Amino acid sequence: MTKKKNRNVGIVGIGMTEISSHKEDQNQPEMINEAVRAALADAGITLKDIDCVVHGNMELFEMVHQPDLWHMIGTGALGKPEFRITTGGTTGMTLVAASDNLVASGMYDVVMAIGFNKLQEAGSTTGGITNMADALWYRHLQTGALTSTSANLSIEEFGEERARKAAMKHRIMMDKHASLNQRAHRRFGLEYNQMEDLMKNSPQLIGDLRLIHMCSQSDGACVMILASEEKAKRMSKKPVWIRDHIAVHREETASNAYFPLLSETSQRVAARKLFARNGITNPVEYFDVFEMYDPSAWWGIEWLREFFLLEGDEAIKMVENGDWDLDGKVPVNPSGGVTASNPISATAMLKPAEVALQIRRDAGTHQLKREVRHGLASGFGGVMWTELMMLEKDLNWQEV
Amino acid sequence: MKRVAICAVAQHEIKANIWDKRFQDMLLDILEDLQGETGFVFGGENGVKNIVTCSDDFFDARTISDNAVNDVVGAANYRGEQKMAQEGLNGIGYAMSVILSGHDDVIYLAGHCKESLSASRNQIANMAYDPFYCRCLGLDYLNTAGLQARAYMEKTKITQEQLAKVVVRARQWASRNTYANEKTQLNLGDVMYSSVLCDPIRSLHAYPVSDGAVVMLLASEERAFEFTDNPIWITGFGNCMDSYFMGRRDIASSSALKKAAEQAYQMAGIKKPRKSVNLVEAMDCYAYQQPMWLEGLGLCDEGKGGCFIDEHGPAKYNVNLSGGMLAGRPLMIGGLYGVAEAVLQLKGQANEHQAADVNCAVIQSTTGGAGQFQTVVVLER
Amino acid sequence: MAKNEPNTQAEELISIQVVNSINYSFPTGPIMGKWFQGLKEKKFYATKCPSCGRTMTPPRGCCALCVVRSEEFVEVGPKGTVENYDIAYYSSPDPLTGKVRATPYAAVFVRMDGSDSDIFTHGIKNEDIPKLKRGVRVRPVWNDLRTGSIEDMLYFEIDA
Repeated sequence: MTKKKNRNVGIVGIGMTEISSHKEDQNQPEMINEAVRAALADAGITLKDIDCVVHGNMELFEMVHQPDLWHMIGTGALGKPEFRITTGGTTGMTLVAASDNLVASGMYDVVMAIGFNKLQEAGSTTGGITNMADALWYRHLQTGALTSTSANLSIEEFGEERARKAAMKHRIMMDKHASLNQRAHRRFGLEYNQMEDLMKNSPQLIGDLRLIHMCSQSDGACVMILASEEKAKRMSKKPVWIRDHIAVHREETASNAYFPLLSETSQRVAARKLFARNGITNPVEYFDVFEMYDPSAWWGIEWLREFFLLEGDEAIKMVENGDWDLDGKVPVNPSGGVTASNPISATAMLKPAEVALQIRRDAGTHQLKREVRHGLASGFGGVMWTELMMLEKDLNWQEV
Repeated sequence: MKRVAICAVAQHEIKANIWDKRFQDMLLDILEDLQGETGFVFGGENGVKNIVTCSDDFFDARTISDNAVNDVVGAANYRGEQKMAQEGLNGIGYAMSVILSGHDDVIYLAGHCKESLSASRNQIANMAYDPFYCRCLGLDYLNTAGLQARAYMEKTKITQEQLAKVVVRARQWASRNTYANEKTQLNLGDVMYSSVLCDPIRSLHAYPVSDGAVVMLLASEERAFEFTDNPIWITGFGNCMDSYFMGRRDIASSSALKKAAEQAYQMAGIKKPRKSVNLVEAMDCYAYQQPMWLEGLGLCDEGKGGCFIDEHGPAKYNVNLSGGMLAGRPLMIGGLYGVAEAVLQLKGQANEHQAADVNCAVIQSTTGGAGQFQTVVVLER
Repeated sequence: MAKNEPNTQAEELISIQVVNSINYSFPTGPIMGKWFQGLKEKKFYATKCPSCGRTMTPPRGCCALCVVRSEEFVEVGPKGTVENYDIAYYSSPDPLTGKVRATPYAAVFVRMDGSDSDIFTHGIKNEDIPKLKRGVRVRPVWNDLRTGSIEDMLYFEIDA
């Protein structure tokens, strides 16, 4: 049963800072302010037009309590309504979903969502993520977001060689996409003929999860401005419409979440529910682009199967055939994905931001050549929490 | 705009140190109370599918602090959950928007906070300040309140005796509230001559360290009556951010609170709050804040907080019949406990501390040093 | 901060290095309390959901799937089957002490005997790492000194 959205919401402004590993020339509010100014300029509006600010990050990383209080000198929230919502790694997308709710509700017409992380200030993200684990029984063991459990399962299902090749091919494809994206943090210039070498020589982190497979630790901020349909049409020549979004959480025990004994992955449940309530029966046919939150190449290939509701080796076959490439059936991560850029609390916002840029045809050097009307973005965090969002070029979808 | 209701609330008893339970245990206890009262379930065709939590990573010493309680708030079974990382009253406004947006028609809201976990809540508050300047000066919510109290006292000439009246009254009302923390009765002299905590704030002017949790069920107008015979309507909401640097604002007057209140009253269609409002829950962490926030809410003339107390203004508006923040509430859900009290009052379920004829309640909360961020909610029956 | 202003003299960027540390104490609550007591006695307790019947290790007072109070304790293990594992070759420094754990070390995700669907995580004896496979059987190795904490169990070892 689909609920009727109270009113439509369009993305009218997108701003990002450069994403890099050590932004030593800016402090937190300065970094945020850069993205805020960029988003306002993109939308062609000023702070006066913003009705409400939504802020979020994983505060134990920068060790600032209630950071929105300090950051207001950069967010522009002075004298304005403001919300602070955080959900771990999914925060960036939660901020967009929350802003969508706030605008759709009719309470605010123009909302600015701000996601950022200055991870350089954390020292080590993995150390910070370890804090996520229950202090009593899991913290001493937890290896942060690093795990090879997914690799173990894929290897068991498809065989060592096929699985490892697929994961490495996906990783190299991500790097090739990143190389076209001037804003991406890490661009190694990898080539497919390096596959065998990397499979052997990239240092192992955990089991078959190698350094090359894993996402980076980045600094950066991303800001998105959302407006009601009426204002969006006035403010922007090409507002990108938020059609729907869903969040799917799982149980706290990381061990239980790392592989679903009981039933489906949160990725599959999110896709199944979101597509069903929007009448999407063939997601591979429907979507023109998918910005997936892929913290590692192993999860990347596993989740492609989940998000597109595929079975068996369908998704891996598509990796092998290049169907997820920029000119493939469903281009995945034209931005380079999370293995290229990961300012954690902004990362999940970069996903819908990138999709919106593609829909607007503003992605610059990494703009897809094909027409992009229907976009999909995912967020990941917590213990296998998934967020999924659908974006549209035109306000013409059918209510189911 | 359609309306959103709070169907029911459940509060955990507030204590200085709930050492025998984890958050999960506390939240489970009150979830059962709430389900008992409303009959709501999770999942299925008509059950709760989305949850809003309120907690703070620093107080919990846990990154993604909502993670720890996802199972007991019903989110862990493939449902959605979002955490308000601000004082919980903001969760009311946000949850309301989720329902008004059409995304969901029922929301389970759950807030928790234990100030007792950390060795020092002031140390946590110090971490709210920028690491280069204010933090190094040692600012926290106590000493910034001290600065504000001094400025407020200069401006209003409020006396030590008037401030003491606020505390004495708080304890009197707290003694009638089963959920309240600090019920020890005081006389004026106890307060006036209590040791100085942070000049001019005395130790008995300050809210005691507290642990607690509070949950509620929100629903759209179409569904509220499935869960209760007397839904309480959220008719107004507003929040507002003030300057970070204290030197940039007039700390003796709260412009952020005035703006937040204005938004809330406007949404509620209240043109004359002094006529319409008959119950208030104000987040008075320190005694001076009660009259100050009442000024900001427009219920007392600017600068006249002291006289207001002598003229029994707080009694007239049924202010903090729960004992308020002064009787003890954990910081991150001070406002949410205020909502719980207001809902009980509006439903006529406040037992020994029930006020007569209340139909319009205002709840206020603050986050940050010297009331930097303010939130106001209007509830009506 | 204008990035493109010409500098007439080199500017030094100041960065402040600080270690933040706040002391906390965590209550175990009645459920975890009983579990730790069990570890002290070399036993694994799980709680069982009265609604769906699944067991939970470590025990939780609320079944996440059914959202109901689950306070019935059952004993599981002590042996179990390795469902999955992580062999760490890289260790990040402890945020407080800066110490780096010696690698390789491994975590195993074990389905304890009698626990139909839940997974318990702990380490595995280093010497057994080369023998790790999905499906191997393991048993706990207990600390001689047990105080009622997660360290009462040193790690699992392969149950030959």
